[in-house]
Amino acid sequence: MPQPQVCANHPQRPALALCMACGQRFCQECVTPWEGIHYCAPCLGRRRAAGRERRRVLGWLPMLLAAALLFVLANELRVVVAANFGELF
Amino acid sequence: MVAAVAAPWVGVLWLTAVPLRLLQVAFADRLIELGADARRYGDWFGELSWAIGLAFLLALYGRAVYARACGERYASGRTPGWRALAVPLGATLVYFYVALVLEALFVALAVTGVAVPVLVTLGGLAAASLPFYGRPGLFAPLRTVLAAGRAGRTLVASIFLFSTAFLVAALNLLFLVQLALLLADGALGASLAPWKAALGLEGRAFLLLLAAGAWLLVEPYWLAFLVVYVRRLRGRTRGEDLRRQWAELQASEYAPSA
Repeated sequence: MPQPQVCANHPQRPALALCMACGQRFCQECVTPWEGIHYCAPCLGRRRAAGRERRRVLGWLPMLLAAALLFVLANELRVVVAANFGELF
Repeated sequence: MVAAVAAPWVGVLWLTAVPLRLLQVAFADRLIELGADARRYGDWFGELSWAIGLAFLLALYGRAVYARACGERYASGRTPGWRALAVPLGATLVYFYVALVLEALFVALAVTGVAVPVLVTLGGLAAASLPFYGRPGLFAPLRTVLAAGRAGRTLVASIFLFSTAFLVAALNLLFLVQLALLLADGALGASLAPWKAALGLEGRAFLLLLAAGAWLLVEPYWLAFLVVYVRRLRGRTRGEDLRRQWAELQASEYAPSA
């Protein structure tokens, strides 16, 4: 007769869900659905941290690219203003 | 506050700003001299423009350090140590981005005249807002700077005040130079004639250098004003001004009597 599955954190409770990241079985209180998929607390924490890191990098990239473009634009604009100085004044 | 942070932070501000001001003077002087012929010297102006751009970044770092020193002095009441040199990298990069936005707008709109004081003031507010930049982004840092400009009357008054200070500083520098020439004339006589022509009101380069020197003299006071202004404005929305007043009251209440 097969042994009933138990929660990896609480051996006295039956396991009702499977963490799709680590594959361990947990009781209902030890898993959290995230984007429709069940994860245990440590795996969920790792996924959320990875998401924050991606958002942090993605937040910097546009700003740094824009800064580089503006640096070039400002330098070129000075030359344009200089070239058209006679018409402007 | 400027006297408290003068050494060495005003020195850092000036040392990092002097290359930019000298290059700007050279650019403007040659541009005025050439006039409509300037378009034939595009390569020279192009190289000088890139040098100005690099010097601009150096000057931004100097402003960031000085603004941080003023902020620490205002917050703690103590003269900041060498820690002020270590401006946080993230906030500094955001400040560089905001400053480059304003610099591009300045170059594009300087001919209108009206935009100059507005953009210069926003540039100072950008440095003063350095500790308050949150997450990086294209628009959030600009909103932080614009939010600092909501006490419009105070800022307009500051524009008039520091414009007057600029003119007074320029006049004082002019008189100083003329006085030095007068004193040297007594010792060296006729050999000073070319210097008198170059260092008089007819000398275009001299007038531009005078303007640059006057701005260097006024800038520390102007930036210190903006640092205090931004901190008080933000403090008013967070109760920090009340905490500060309470701390000052307690200090005066329990100060030992003479």
